[in-house]
Amino acid sequence: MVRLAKIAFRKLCMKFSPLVQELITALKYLPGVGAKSAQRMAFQLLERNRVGGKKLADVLHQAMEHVQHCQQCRNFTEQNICDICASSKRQDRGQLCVVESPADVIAIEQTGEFQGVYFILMGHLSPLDGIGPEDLKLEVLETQLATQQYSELILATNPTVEGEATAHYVAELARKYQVNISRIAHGVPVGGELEYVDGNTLSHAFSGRKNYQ
Amino acid sequence: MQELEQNAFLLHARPYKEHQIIAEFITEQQGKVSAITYTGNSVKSSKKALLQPFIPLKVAFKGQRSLKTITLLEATAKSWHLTGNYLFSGFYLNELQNKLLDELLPMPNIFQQYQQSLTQLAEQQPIEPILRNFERHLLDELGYSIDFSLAFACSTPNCHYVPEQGLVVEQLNLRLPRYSVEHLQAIAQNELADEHVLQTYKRLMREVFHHLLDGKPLNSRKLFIKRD
Repeated sequence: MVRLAKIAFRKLCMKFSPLVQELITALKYLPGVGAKSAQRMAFQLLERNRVGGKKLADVLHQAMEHVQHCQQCRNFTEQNICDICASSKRQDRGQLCVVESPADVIAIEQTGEFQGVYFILMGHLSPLDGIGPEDLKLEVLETQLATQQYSELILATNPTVEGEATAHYVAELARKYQVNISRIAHGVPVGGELEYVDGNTLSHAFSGRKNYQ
Repeated sequence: MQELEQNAFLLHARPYKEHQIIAEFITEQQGKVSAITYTGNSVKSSKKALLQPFIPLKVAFKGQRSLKTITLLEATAKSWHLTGNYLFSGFYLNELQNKLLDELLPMPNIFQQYQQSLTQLAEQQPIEPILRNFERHLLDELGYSIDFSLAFACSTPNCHYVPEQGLVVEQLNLRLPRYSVEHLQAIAQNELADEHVLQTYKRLMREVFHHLLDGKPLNSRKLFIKRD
C-alpha cells in the first residue's frame, strides 16, 4: 500500500521541471521533512518569498563553506576558536563542562548558571551503534586538560545509560590530570509531580539527596 | 487474541523518524524481538526512561511481521545500577546478544543467564568469570558448544581451536594460537580462580566469537582498552 502511494507520488513529482524537482529533493535533506512538506516549502519560497529564498540560499552556502568545529570545544563556529572559548573571563573560571551536543550548550547557557567553558563530544559512547571513544575526539579533550589548568570538570552528559557510560569514560581519562570531577544531579523536574515520575528517576533523586539547609 | 505479557530486557534502542524508537529486546518466551514505539517529545513521556538497558521490564507486542509494535511497557523492578567496567560489561553482553541471536527464536536459558549475569555485575563480583560463563551459555544455546573432552584425552601440552571442528591436537606445522591443555581442563570443570586459566579462557572465547561474528569487531571491547 505504502509502496503504491510512493510510486503514485513519484509519478506526480515527475511533472515538475528539473530544477523545481531538485529543490524539493534538496529540501528533504532537512530532518522531519518529507516529500509533501518539501514541496510546500519549495512552492512557498518560489511563489511568495523569493527574497527570503535567496537569503536562505546565500546563508546556507556561507554556513556550509565556513562553519567548522572550534579547535578547543568542538562547537560550531566560523572562527578557529568560538566566542565562549575566546573569553578570558570564562577561561579564568577554571571550569570545564562536558556535554553531548551544541543544543546542550544553548540549554545550559540559558540558565546563566555556568560561567566556565565547554567541551562538546558531538555524541555519546554507544558500542551497539558502533560509536567508540575515537569517534568522540577525546584526544582534543585530553589536550585541553593537559594544556589548561582546570579546577573542575563537570560531566553534563545525558542521564541515559549511554550518557552514564560516556561520563565514566571521560572521568577515567581525566583522573590523571588532577582535576575535581563532578556529575550533574539527576532528579525530579520542577513543577513535576512525584506520582508521575518514573521509578528510576525517583530512585536517583533519593540516592542523590542533599542536606536541607 | 490475548497478547502475551512477558519479562524482557532492552538490548538496544535507536531513534526512528522524529518521535519513534526502534528497540531490540531479549524476552523470556520469544527470544530476541524488535519492536517500534511512539515516544513523543514531551518531558512527561516516561517511555524514554523505560527504554533503557538493564531495567527488568514487562512487555507485550502486537503485529505479524518481524518488527512488532509495543503495546505494554512497564518496569517490574528497579534498574540494575551498573557503573564503570561493570556497565561496559553489561554493554558487552547486550552487543553479543544483539549480534548473534536470531529474532523470535525462544531462548529462555539465555534470558535466565543474562538476568543472573546482570545481578552478579550489579553485586560487583569479578567480571571475567561472569562474562565467560555467559559466553559459554550463549555458545551452548546457539549450538556451538565446545567439546572439552579432547583436553583430557590428548597427550600434547597444547591444543588448537579450529572453527567448525572445535579443539584439535597441537600440530607443530599449524600456525594457530595454542591453548594449554591444563588450562582447558580447568575451564571444562569451571574452575576459574587462576588468573592464567582466565586468560586462556578469554583468548579461546575471543577466537570462537571472532569466527561466529565473521570477523566483525565487538565495539564494547574498545571501552575496556584504557584499563588493560
